This record gives sequence, C-alpha cells and structure tokens, in this order.
Amino acid sequence: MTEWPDPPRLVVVDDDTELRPVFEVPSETLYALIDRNRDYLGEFLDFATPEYALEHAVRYADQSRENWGRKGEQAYAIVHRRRPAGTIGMHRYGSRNRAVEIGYWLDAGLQGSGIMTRSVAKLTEVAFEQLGVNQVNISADVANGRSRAVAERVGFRFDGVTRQWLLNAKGKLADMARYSLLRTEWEENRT
Amino acid sequence: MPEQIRVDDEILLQRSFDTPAEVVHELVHQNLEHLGRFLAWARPDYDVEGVRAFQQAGRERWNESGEHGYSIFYRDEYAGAIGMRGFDSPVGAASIGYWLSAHLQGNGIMTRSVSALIRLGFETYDLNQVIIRAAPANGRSRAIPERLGFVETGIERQMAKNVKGEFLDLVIYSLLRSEWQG
Ligand SMILES: CC(C)(COP(=O)(O)OP(=O)(O)OC[C@H]1O[C@@H](n2cnc3c(N)ncnc32)[C@H](O)[C@@H]1OP(=O)(O)O)[C@@H](O)C(=O)NCCC(=O)NCCS
Ligand SMILES: CC(C)(COP(=O)(O)OP(=O)(O)OC[C@H]1O[C@@H](n2cnc3c(N)ncnc32)[C@H](O)[C@@H]1OP(=O)(O)O)[C@@H](O)C(=O)NCCC(=O)NCCS
Repeated sequence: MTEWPDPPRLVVVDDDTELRPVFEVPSETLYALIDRNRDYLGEFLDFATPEYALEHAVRYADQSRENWGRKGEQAYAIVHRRRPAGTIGMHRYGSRNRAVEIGYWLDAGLQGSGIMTRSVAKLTEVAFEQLGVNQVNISADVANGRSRAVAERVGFRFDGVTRQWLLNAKGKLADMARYSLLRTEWEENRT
Repeated sequence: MPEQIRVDDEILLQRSFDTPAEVVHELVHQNLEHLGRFLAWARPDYDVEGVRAFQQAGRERWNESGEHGYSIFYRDEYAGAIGMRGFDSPVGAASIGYWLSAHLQGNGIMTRSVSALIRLGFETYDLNQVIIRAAPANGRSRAIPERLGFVETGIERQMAKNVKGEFLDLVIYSLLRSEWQG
C-alpha cells in the first residue's frame, strides 16, 4: 500500500480547468455548491441527502487530507475559471489489484461543455502514467446516461452491470453499469 | 451465522477454524495443481502457519460480525471449503466462494452446499441477493451458479490472480431474492 506515490497536488486539465486536492478549497464554498445542486446530485449520488450539512463537507475534507497518498479516495475539487465546479476522486487507492475507480460530479449549470470528459481523461492519464495503476474503473447507475457517456467518450469499455447495487440519496436501489480501461489498452491507444 | 449447517445426509458444514490446520494443509497440498489454476493462495509455500493465519482472520471476523467460512465434510471426510461474505452490505448483497478436493468432484457437493447457504442468507439473514464470481475458463465453477438459476450480468476484468501471478477476469453471476425458487 505504501509504495503508491502521492498523487500530484495540481493537475492541469486545460486553460480554464484544474484539479486540486479537495481539502485545499474552502469547505464552505464546496458546501454551498453542493447545497445549490442537492436535488440534482441526489438522483445519482448517495451523499447528497436532505441532511447533508457544512459539517459533512468539513469532515470529507479532513478525511481526504488523511487519505492523501495513502488509501481510500484521493479526492480532487474541479476548479473551473478559479471557482470550484465539482469533484473528481480516485477511489480504492492502494488496492490489491492496482485498480482505482474514478467518481465525479459537476455543477448542473456547467454541464454540456466537456469539462468532465476532459477531467476524467486527464486523471486517467495521471493514474496510468504517474501512479502506476493497472486499471481504471467507472461505474454509474444504468439510468445515468450523461455519466455513462463520459466513460464512453474517454474510451472505457462496458463490462456489464451489477444488479441492485447502488443506493441513491433518495433511498432508491439501482443497477450499476460498470466500465473499465486496462493499462494495456491505454498503452495501445496512446501511440 | 450458525457454527454448523447440516446440508443433507451426506454433507455437513462446520466453521472453518474448528478444523485442525494440519488437516486443511494436507488436503490443499494434495490439490495444489487443481486449486492453483484459479486461486492465488494455493501455492507450494502455503504452510500450516499460513492456514493458521487464515483461520485466525476468520475467527476475528466471526467475533466482529458473526460471519465466517465453513469446512465441508462429505460423509465425514474433509472435502473443501465454502464461505459467504458481505452480510454488512448496505444493499444486502453477499458473495460466495468455494473450493473442493479434485477427487470429490462430480457428486454435487458444492452445488448442494451453495444452495444451503443461499437458503440461509435469504431466509435467516434477509439478504437481497447472492453473487458468485468465477474465471471465464473455470467451467466447473461457472456451472454451479448456472445450475442454481443465477443470471450472468457481466465481467470484472483482471480482478483476480492465479498462483503464477497472472491476472484473471471474473464472470459475475447474481441471484436476487425475488428470483429465488426456494
Ligand atoms: C455526469 C456529469 C458529470 C456529466 O456532465 P456532462 O456535462 O454531460 O459531461 P461533460 O462535462 O463531459 O460534457 C459533455 C457534454 O459536453 C459536450 N461537449 C462540448 N464540448 C466538448 C468537448 N470538448 N469534449 C467533450 N464533450 C464536449 C458533449 O457533447 C456533451 O454534450 P451533451 O450533454 O449534449 O451530450 C453530470 O451530469 C453530473 O455531475 N451529474 C450528476 C452527478 C452524477 O451523476 N455523477 C456521476 C455519478 S456516476
Ligand atoms: C469449482 C468446483 C467446486 C466444482 O466442483 P464440482 O464437483 O464440479 O461441483 P459440484 O460439487 O456442484 O458437482 C457437480 C457435478 O456433480 C453432479 N451431481 C451429482 N449429484 C448432484 C446433485 N445432487 N446436485 C448437483 N449436481 C450433482 C453434476 O451433474 C455435476 O457433474 P459433472 O461434473 O459431470 O458436470 C471444483 O471444481 C473446484 O474446487 N475447483 C477448483 C477451485 C475453484 O475453482 N474454486 C472456485 C473459484 S471461483
């Protein structure tokens, strides 16, 4: 586990977009963003419940600082034109099979311009080229067409579903579509 | 979970750490080649201490969550092992894993044992689904969920290894409570 390197503290996605550890942006700002997007996020994510409060955002930041370079989720804030616009994280850092899973969400108002597709592509590149992972996974509610489209645009392969596996913030059980990209495929496509 | 489960006249499951480590070690070593194709731990250097460490981990899990693996006895002979994990899953999904000595294959021992654990999971532990994973090339293992009416829902690529350290894909099977024929 400890032989995994520290993820970079700054990932430049494009001229307007960068990734920074989530604990480097003020929890108040992140919370305000989540609060504004609560209902939209709650459809597909489990954390955005009606009870989600500032203290949860603070705890998330603390936990992320503690996890950094060690284990569990390596969580970045997506900073777009200097403002937090969402998050993107690498889960299962340090896992046995060198498989990490990327999860994400974006401010509803910033959808539709490819910010997430570019962020996922960049973080995938970092995972393979700097962090030595063997595969990257993405999973989404089968009904989450926008999220699945992100995985597909970046070139991930659809591996099937896991049934009745996801619980959203509204307590609904959903089937999960799973995608993966292997190191061997990454290396082939790079050339 | 119960300390032992009577599957039928021929088969008894008993929690794995009650079996002497030497007994487990001997059967694993008789089956190294058979098991090593699909299980990463069945290596020539798997010694009695390794068995004890595995049993100790099982004992701790039993103390924490009441969950553990079982030794399979077929007509009183130690025949292999089976375990079910994930009782604490927020979505009620547990997964089953198993192995059987090569010389006892072909008698339905594993199919019957899996079936008994499924019944226990659905009837006593209120599970919502049971999952079984097997390598694509492991036909005998895949035949078990298929025989029991599981649905094949996809693959996990390069998520397991064999003793040579080569990656294996895993085919995912699941059986929902609503599909279970009892
Ligand atoms: C999932 C989510 C991040 C997708 O957002 P998105 O805006 O669709 O994704 P992108 O930022 O990659 O943008 C893609 C869109 O921009 C368009 N686009 C414009 N320029 C683009 C470019 N240069 N590159 C890629 N796409 C571009 C694409 O055509 C696509 O448009 P469409 O929405 O008309 O199909 C967002 O909907 C979300 O956060 N949802 C709620 C939380 C959630 O579900 N998270 C995922 C859980 S698994
Ligand atoms: C996977 C493994 C447990 C399967 O063993 P198995 O003997 O094929 O499985 P079962 O005990 O369920 O027996 C099924 C066979 O018994 C027969 N059978 C006889 N009575 C039966 C009964 N009452 N119910 C079901 N099958 C019965 C079946 O027809 C089948 O016969 P076949 O081999 O001619 O097709 C064994 O091959 C093994 O341990 N392999 C190595 C380790 C491994 O791969 N573990 C799984 C990792 S995912």
